[in-house]
Amino acid sequence: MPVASVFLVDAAWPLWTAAALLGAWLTLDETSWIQTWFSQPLPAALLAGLLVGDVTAGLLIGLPFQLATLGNLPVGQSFLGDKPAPVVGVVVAAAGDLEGVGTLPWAMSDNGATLVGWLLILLAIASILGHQVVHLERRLRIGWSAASLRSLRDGNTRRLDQAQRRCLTVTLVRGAATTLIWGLVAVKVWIPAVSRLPILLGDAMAILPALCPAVAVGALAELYGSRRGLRWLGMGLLGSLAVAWLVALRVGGAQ
Amino acid sequence: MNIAHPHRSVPPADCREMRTIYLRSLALQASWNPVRMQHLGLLTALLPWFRRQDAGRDETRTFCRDHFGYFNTNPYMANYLLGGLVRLEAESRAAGGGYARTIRSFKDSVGRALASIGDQLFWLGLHPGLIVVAALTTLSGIPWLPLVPFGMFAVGQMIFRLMALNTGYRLGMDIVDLLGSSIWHRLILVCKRGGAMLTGVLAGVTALGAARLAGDPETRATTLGVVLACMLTLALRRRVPGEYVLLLLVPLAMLLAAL
Repeated sequence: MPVASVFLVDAAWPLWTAAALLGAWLTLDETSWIQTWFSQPLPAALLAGLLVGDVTAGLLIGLPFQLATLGNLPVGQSFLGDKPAPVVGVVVAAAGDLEGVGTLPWAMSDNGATLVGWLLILLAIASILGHQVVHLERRLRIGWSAASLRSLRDGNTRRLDQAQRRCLTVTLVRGAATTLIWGLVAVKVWIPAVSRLPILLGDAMAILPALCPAVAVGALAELYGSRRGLRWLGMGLLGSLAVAWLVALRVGGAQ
Repeated sequence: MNIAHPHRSVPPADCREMRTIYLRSLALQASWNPVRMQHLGLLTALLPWFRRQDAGRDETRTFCRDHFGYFNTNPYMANYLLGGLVRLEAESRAAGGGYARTIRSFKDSVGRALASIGDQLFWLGLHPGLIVVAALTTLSGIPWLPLVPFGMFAVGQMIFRLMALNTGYRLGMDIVDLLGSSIWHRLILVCKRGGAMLTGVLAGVTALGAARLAGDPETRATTLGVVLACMLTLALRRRVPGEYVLLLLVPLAMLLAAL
């Protein structure tokens, strides 16, 4: 039985607790603590997949979402979004529903691709809404840190540590709550709705995962698009096509 | 891990103290805010050293106020500055004070230089390249394999940050010479060229995937979609976040589905 279908039933609680903890850790990892990049959508989805015993589901959801958002770089006052916790929630919710779909964005079966595309839209909405919450939290920190400075009148530096711990705790709680909220939305609303989608929208959702690698290529080509960069890009392109041609020749020869 | 300075009379770094500073440095951005950015993270990372100095109330307030102002740098490179700051503060105390202006300008100028190098190296060089490598490992058919490059980065960056803290303390003000070294620019160049080449490989894999879809009459429209999605992203010049691009692709996908 898919994990998603027993959500909020006793047997699923340990799993969702573990998912909330994973989402909380990855949300901390995104900016606040260590920044190992395990909070990127692809590894976050794979870790969530490992948690529920369905790594393929993690790959199917995490890879296209990672590729679609590859152009978001946290440099300057850029858009951050809130990706890791919704990714964990959605992967845990969808585990078991994506069996036999395939593994690569451009080689999925139609039915599975429809659900993956539909979940990608949920993740995009979750990340955009989460961005506002992240900004709110960051604005709250201005007041917390200022209050810690005012409390230094008596020379007690422990209040600075307390303010720092408070920020970490709030991020941790936000991560856990976000994981559960988006997991719940996926289980109760989003995944059941996929069977009721109009045919045209359903077909469009099936196409969506296949477009994500192209989005990544476009974003990176723009990033490395200098004259020299294009030379290296061209070398990589020709090299990969040459390798594919050689592999095809060898396979053809063997047959 | 006791580090003796070759030139000036500053006591070697205490192993336990440096370990605590290192652990706190990992949460440099925990209290990041749009006004003073990493200021509280930096100050709380410096506190383990300061608390050993038996400073009075006024001295504590002065120290905290000095480090409470705006501060922002690249988190992966920050430990060079943190080590250097501990060193400078220790030198200042050994000399009976008077380094306040030097410390402030050191923090500002080195912080800015580290931010520039770190952003180029980590976010614009390593980050896209590592993700493309992870994405390409999925072609192996082993679904968990992409975790390997991320695991290697996680361990590598933690070792790098530990080494940066020790190097920062050892060099003090001389970090400026280290930052002026051409090795950083060569590293950035290598990462960016590697990233561009990997983008080419991803483009090749995407083109092959699209060609495979073009072979089937039912999925032929998707091939056109791949080309259009790539052109759309290029036209948007990364000004629109990926999440919005995904939403923008829905009408395009509906159009293709209707064909």
